[in-house]
Amino acid sequence: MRAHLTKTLAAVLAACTLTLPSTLPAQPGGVEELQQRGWPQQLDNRQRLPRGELLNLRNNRGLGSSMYGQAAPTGPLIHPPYEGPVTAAKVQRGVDDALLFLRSQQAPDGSIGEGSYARGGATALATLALLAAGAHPTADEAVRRALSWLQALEPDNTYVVAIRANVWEYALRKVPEADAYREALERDFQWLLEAKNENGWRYQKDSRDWDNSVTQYGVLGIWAGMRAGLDPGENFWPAMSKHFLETQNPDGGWSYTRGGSSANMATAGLASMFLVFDSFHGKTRYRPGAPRAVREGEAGRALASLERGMAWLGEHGGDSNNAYYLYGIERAGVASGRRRFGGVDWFKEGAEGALTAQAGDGSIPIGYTPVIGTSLSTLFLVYGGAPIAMQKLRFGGEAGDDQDWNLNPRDLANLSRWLWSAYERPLNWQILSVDAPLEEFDAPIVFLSGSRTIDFTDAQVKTLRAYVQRGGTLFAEPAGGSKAFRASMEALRQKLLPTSEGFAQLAADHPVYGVVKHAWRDRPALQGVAAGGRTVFFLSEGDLSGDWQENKVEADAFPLAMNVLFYATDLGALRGRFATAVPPGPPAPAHPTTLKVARAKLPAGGTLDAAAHAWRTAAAVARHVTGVAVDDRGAVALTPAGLASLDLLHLTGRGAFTLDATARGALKAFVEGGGTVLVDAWAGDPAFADSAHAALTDLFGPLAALPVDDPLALGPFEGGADLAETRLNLAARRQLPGRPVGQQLHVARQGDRVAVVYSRFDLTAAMGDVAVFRAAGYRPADARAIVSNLLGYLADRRG
Amino acid sequence: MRSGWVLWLLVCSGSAHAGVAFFPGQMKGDAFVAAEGAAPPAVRFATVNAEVDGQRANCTFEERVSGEGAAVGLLPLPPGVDAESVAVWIDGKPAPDLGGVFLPADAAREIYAALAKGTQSSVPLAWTGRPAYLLPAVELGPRTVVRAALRLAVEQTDDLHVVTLPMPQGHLSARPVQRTRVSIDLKGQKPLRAITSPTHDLQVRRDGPRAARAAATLEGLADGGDLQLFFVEDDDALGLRLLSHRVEGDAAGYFMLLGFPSGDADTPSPPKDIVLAVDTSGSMRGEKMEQARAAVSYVLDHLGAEDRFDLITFGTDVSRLDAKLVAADPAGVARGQAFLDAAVAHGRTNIAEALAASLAGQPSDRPRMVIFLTDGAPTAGEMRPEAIIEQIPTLNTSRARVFVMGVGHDVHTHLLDRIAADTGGTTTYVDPAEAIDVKLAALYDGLSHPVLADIALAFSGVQVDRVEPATLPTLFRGQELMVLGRYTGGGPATVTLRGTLGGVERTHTVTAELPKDARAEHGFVAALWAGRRLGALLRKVRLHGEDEASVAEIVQLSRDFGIVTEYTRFLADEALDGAEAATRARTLMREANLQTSGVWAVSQANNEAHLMKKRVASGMDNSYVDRRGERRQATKTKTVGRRTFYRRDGKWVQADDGPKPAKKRRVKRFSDDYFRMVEENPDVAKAQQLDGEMEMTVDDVRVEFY
Repeated sequence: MRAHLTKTLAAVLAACTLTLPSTLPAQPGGVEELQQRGWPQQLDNRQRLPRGELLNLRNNRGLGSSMYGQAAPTGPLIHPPYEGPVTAAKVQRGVDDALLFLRSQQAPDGSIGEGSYARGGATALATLALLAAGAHPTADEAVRRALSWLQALEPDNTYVVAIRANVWEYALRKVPEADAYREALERDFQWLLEAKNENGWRYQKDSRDWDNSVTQYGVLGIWAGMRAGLDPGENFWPAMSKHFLETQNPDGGWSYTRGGSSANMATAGLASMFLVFDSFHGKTRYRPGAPRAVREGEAGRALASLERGMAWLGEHGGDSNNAYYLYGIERAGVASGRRRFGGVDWFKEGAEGALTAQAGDGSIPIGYTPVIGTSLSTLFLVYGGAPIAMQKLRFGGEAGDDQDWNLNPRDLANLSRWLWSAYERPLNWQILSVDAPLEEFDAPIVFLSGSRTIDFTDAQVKTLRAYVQRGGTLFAEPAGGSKAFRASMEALRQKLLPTSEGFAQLAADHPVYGVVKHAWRDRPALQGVAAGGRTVFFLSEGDLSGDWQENKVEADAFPLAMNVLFYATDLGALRGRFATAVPPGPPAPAHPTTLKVARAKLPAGGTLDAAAHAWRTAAAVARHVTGVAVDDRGAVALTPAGLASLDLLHLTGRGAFTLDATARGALKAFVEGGGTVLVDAWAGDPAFADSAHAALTDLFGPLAALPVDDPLALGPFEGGADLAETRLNLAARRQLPGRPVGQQLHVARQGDRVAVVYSRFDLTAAMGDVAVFRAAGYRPADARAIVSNLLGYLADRRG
Repeated sequence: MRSGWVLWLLVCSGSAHAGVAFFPGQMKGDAFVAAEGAAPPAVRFATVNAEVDGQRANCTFEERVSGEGAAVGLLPLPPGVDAESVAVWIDGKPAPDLGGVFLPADAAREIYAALAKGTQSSVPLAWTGRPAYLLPAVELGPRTVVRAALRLAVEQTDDLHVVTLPMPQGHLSARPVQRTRVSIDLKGQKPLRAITSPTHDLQVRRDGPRAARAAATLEGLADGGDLQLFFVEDDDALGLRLLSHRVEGDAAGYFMLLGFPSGDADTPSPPKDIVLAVDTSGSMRGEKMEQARAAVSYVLDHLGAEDRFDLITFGTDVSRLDAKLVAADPAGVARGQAFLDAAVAHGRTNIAEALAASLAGQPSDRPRMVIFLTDGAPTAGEMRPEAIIEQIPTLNTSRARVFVMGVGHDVHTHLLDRIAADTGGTTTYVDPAEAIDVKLAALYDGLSHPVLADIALAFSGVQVDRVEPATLPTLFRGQELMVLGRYTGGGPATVTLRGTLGGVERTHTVTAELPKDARAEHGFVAALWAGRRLGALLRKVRLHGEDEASVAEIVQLSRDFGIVTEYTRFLADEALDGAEAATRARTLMREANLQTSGVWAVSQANNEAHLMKKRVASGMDNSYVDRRGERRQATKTKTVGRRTFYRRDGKWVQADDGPKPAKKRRVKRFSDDYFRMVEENPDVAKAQQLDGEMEMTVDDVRVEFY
């Protein structure tokens, strides 16, 4: 596909002399649209290209940088060249620098990167990008000026009006009382309705023509108005449904007007059809009496259209060096909840494309102008890279073909939009196969819904168990109150957590009901299963997804989901796509020492598997920052044989315990023989902390606070951190008078070395990014810094 | 080879005797022969500990050095140190066992010259005039540990004690020193008053009136300058001191007034009124809201028994605990806690109405302080920042001072800074990675004990201008008084300070001789004044709009004192005249001032605040936080004494706004002429710490060292 487009571009360039038209059309359709408009023939009435642009045209890296090419950086050089792989931090850096570029392009009158054609389009897109990335419409003077400029503009172009409508809608989300924005939105909304002909939109208001590029933006503009409460009339969405169904090609794709399908137009058709479905067809919820209502009739046709469109996209793909395409694939990807189209992770591929193209001044010049390319790419990165709040588990059959997992197909799409508003930041949802590899379980909550009996394979249970041990939370709902599905969840619970006691009704004072205070209409009943100090599996007694599907935002189901999310993430901390615990920067040179580490099997505990996961993460971080490798020996018995040859023994767990004589003797001999012991209370469990403290004091004498200038705390070795800057979480800080900053470790020594490190606050759960609600402990990065210091300290002493 | 000796940062006052410097190679007779191809050693970690009283400082110094092969080690020492006052160990072995020897200043000069010739680096010449301890043959390994013990005299100047401690040779290390821990224990015969370091950012923790610890952990030290610590012992409750600096030929000199209001401050502070206004809009939901609750709980738990308080929460609507102030007795505090527990994060941000409620009330004898915490911009009620600001004088019937905490980057920095500035308060920005409760607890701990209020200064004997800060704020427990300004005239000068200390009106005076002509000492006084003045001007331009005079002064200060700012960063690269530079700075400021919200806006506010409180005059603190929130350290700007140098075209060029001297001279580095100039002219010697080719003005001659 890309090769084809590049070839086409070459043809365009071959026909092009050194000049381009004086009125350059905004051409989001790319080469397809150029062909429609016969651009090579139009290149006669021209003005000279700015100096250097021809070279850029010839050197461009793909279609996206096509018509204007990549302009020379104009702002200060702030952005380093991109090196893969994609991580959340790199995406954020890309966004931050792109925004700085957009700001640098603002003219004194408030406009941003305007040219002579489609006046307002660049400013509207740039302003939308700034708002989407978090800029405030009234607090941010640059945005305020841009909005003022846009307000005064009298545009006559559908693109501009539609994007501007989205700008007003976004600004209204932040400042709902701003009458000026509302009036402006109403004006644009009305303009769009008047400009629409019986099929769709074209550039000008009085056009009888249409194309799918302009029409998708028209739909976006109307959708923005609807979100702000405006009514397009009862015929609007049926007409749009008819239009996109009729213009869908037999192969499942869409074209600009007619002819072969293209990637840009396929994303245009798909993204628009999702809006059509959510606004028109998707109002029907699953009911046991009419289980397929949402899949029959017009709705069924629309769903089938969507499936065919996604199949086309999966088969053909698109050009991730084209910002127009990126913004299209992002809208299709986010709306569909699909991680991949045709086996390709659309966000990962697109982010690679955008970040690779990002110039030193922060611009992402893969659009019609650097400002437009940067704006569209920023929207892609911000929306596409937003944290995934919930994943919807696809199960049953080879690919969940019977759709019992998906009885309310738009439930999480609507819920995530609502959470987005409530969170005041973009959030996504995703469909996840139960057979997906563990690393794709990257949302804090996996949602399961169904009406039938479902039996999970051992491999699937193993994956789900590992997900829970890594901190994940399961949230299940028997659709329509299905007893069969409820029984399946109990069966899953037995396999997943065999030592747990089964689902129990959660009391009214369970934190999930109060983590965010709500005036419940009728507090939804939840059952739960606890493990490791947290409820890891929620089972709703009533139907929730139906309310989400119908977008009944006044229903308790919406705030309940928010509360489950806040509980599961310990007050709402979410990580962007491809977040990694390993800090940025090059790895430290390898240290010659490899330390043998194991975890003790204790009478108390039940957290060994979770601790194993935590150590995998912590060891990777320690290796990166200190160069010290860990040889993880797993879980060992507290016996002389178990501790033989270990360098570091880790004791963690929950609940009170005592050590028998064998364990005490083995531990003492281990320490006296040169071994080191790290002890922390999982999730800050006080019973474990007290037991451990008593046992350690008995064996090694009083424990002393670790001085700030001790080598273990000061980190005078490769990658060592100054633990004086270590931070505890809020629950731990509340337990300490004076809100201290810095490590709160206690130690026992053998000679001049620290031989025992004790923390009554959690290290282990934090090391593994397991969020335990209101558990007193260190923050994850700080817990890993402590462990890295300990490993570095031990390796340094060894030499 | 030579690249390893490149200097990174400026050195304050040119007093460049520091930790042990290692030069790979060996002495052959009187000459130093550098090892071919050997990488410069790296000082990886260092600790500097000292016990200091009014007479002497016992200092221990430890470095972990990574190197390879034979090297010559040199520990430059402060003047006056004798052989009995220094001991060195290498990997636990006493240095004399390794041939180590103390060199008086004259003998050391030859070694400095030999090292300079052998390494083709001028850095050792900057130590000219200092004694040294020489380690003629050290075998370096990857983990060589160097220890030194020094017994140093504590100098006396202007009735202050000054201790100078060696620091690692960061500028000679193959890479910046990863971490340096400094800890200085001070003991006084009398109560300790002002304790300040113009070279390093030290945190001072006092342990009773006569003991204190000044400490710092320095990351990535790339400097080689000593650490200087000034401290005052005085029975007087303020211990005022007046320091000065003046360059020959300058129309004005610079002064610094120092004091520390402890002593009487230990008595209970008078009752106060505290109003806590907490943003409970929807964006606070989750962790931020819980941190805010914890923060307010902390304040409620720490109110004095005689204090009064009120709580205000605001989203779209504003709620308050009570229409009048509530006594901070157990019942009142319990009411406050219950009110706070019931708060729900919801709605938008009605800053205008919350501010009005916070400021309303009758004035009283008690100090009234508002802690105003918000994470957003006005999105409900009056939303125009300028309209809110305009209302402040009318609304502030209680004469409250507002201490604003702006949480995150979505705040409107211009609005928040104006609210604070117009009411005599301060703004604290809380980064998203920081904890609200920790920051607010620290803020409240300071505010909870006002010790010196209603401060007024009167000067006699000299004319003063451009005093910073222009308006003296109330000093709270633990805060030092530091006032800087310019003076004209000279001779005996008296400063009279009137204020309320511990609730009692007091007058304190200090008299000192302010030089009419030149005084080379205390160059940091001028640099600190320039920094604070620069900060105040930048804030004025940002919050009140630009004017020609302010922009010109910003450029002038930045150029003269080598202080890098976001808006004058180009000065290092281009030789522009004043008007051109002002135009460029104005353009950059206009672009930056458009940012009223976001990372860049917060960075600007923090940069100004940092300059306005500048305490460190050395290159250790010559940086700004850029539009991305990243710190930018000056690498092309260095100062040596009062000279500013810019790195241009591979050469250090002394900044000169005016016409350069007509006379010119070229001197080849390491020639006889060169060594003669270094020996005869201390300014030339000090400047050699910059290393490499250089152009500077020496006695009205523009000298190019090539």
